[in-house]
Amino acid sequence: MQIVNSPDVHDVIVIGSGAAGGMAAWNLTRQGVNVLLLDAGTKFNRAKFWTHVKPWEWRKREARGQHPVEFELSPKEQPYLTPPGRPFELTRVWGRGGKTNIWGRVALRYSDLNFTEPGLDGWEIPWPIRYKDLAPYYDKVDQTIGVNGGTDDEPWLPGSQHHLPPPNPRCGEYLIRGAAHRAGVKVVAGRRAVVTRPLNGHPACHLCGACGRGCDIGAFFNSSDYLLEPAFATGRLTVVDNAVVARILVDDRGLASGVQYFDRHTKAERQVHGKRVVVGASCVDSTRILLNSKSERYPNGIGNGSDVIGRFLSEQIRFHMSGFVPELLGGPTQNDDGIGGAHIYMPRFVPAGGKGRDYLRGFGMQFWGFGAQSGAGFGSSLPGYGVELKKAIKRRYPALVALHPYGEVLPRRENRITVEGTPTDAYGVPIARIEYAIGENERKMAEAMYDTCEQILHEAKAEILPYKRGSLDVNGGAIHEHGTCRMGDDPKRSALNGFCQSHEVKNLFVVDGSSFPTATEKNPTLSILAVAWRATDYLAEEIKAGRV
Amino acid sequence: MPSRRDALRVLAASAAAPVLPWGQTAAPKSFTKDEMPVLAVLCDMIIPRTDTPGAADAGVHILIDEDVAASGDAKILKDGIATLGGTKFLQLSADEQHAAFERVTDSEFFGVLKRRTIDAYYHTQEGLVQELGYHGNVALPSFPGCTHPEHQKLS
Repeated sequence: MQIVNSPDVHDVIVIGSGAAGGMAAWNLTRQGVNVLLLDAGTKFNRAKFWTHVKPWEWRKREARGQHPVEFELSPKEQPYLTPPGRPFELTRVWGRGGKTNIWGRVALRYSDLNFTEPGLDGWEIPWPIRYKDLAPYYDKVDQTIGVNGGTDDEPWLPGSQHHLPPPNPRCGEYLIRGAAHRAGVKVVAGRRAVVTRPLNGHPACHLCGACGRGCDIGAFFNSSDYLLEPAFATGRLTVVDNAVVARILVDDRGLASGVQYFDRHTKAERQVHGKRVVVGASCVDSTRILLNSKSERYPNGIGNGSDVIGRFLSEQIRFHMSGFVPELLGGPTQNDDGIGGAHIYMPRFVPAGGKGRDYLRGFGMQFWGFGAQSGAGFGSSLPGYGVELKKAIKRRYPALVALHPYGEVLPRRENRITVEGTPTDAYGVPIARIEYAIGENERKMAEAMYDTCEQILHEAKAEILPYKRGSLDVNGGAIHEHGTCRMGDDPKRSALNGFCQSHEVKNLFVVDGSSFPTATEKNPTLSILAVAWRATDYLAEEIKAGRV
Repeated sequence: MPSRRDALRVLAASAAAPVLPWGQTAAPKSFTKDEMPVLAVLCDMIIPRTDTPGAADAGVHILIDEDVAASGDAKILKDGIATLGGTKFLQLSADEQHAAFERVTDSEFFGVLKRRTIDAYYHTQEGLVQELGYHGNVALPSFPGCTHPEHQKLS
């Protein structure tokens, strides 16, 4: 196979274009650094999103042979292995902006308690950074991408002086907030990266509620429109499309010297050279790249002398409980779309440290899917058929409420991504094997999560749809993978320092969720943006000082 | 005036290719020409016509025919139709049909039929807009949210 080696040596090569890679490219180019970004796909065409296609029109279009823009990478194109009976559902988006094209937009700051808790309960390593380190970056991220929400500080959920106005809650959300209050649980305004008024050239959300199909006006943060387009405007960003990265190259000093990738379609091998490499290809793919970057110097994968890369994969446990609130039964059907997804959030209330209960860490809760949805799948759970069933569905339709708790999964050494002895992909590169299981701690936490959901719905006097206590979404379902290239103060127990810089390879940075030592109970994207901004500020300083 | 059920019998007798909700005709993908009118009657027994259209009005049987192609549910539905007598089911009186249907309500077939019917019906314009009054997925200048003080109490 022909290898084309570009003679250029780039200032920085960034791998990946999602929240992590997009932030790295934007923050470096605006500080005068030239960036070559390798993207495994191409730009998604917003004009072709089916954002406003009604369900019945959707079918007509498909009957005509038309299809919506496909964001998700098929595992047929890029497979991964899991052991029998231990599925892990991996969601990947290859293409400009990555998963930020279709993310849930929940933008929660981590509390200082999240950073310090591992030090309190002694489970695995503490974070090397604290809230005070990230707070200025959270502030800047809020102002750059637009996050709506409250100014209220909760113990587990800092507010922000830079939040945009939060949307008005729906009827069901107020009723659930009241019920939670009576159950002793505080529910607050959600924090969501949806632009509720025009910001930085991005138009305000027009409240059509179909964000999951891609926003046709770019009214919620996606890395392509919010970071990469401004980075292009600096004239310092070059993006290579369809560049599926295989390995990071190493020079004889043990430093990263470039990247080997394959063209997604022609399968041609390419190599590019750079003075620094920033990895932000999402947790599993970044880890696969690092582990496949073997050399004499790094037989275990680049920067992996500690044997922590690939280990400590931690996601979140999650389930869903739905019901109908009596106040809205048989009432008028309203337009409940709002900004799409929840307008409220239940911050974690379980105290830090694990004292006085039988599990460590804790959980938060989201509340999407209230009221009038574009379907009535709950009808299958109601008894009977015929006119009575039809009436029962219509009566309940405006009254639907749904609780979605997310619980932290402890980092465990044996929960890991490996590439040893796996089959190769279409480019001849070993694929990832994901071995992951939750443990007793998570099963006990799930009991507490079920208790809380039941208490809230009972206080609401809701009719609860049938559920099985203890059942959880398939692992990976929360799409919040962390931990496999974690930061820490101790180079024997971590791969990166607090600036996401490899302990062993000074010109290698890993800035996505794999750098997080714990999964927390929260959605990570806002923190990935803040961590990547801080890391690349440090990188830019180190470049200016000539140290890297 | 012919009843709804008579009309479905006529459809069965004609054995014509189904007319898709958007006016196109096509050969069924998962069922035979004999099974399609039986499926239409069964879907209508799950979600019948009231003051709003029923499942057969909304073409739910045709949507299910497309939905179950390449799914194990196709065989479950075909077996269920056979258990109910196939085209003979259409010759039964309404009372006899209900009695026969009542005998299968604990079956996997019934569960699949009900789930598929509900899923398809409430995604059609007839089910979602005419029956449920859905008027979402449109651009709005503002979102009023809840305007009822009685819903907003904390205690």
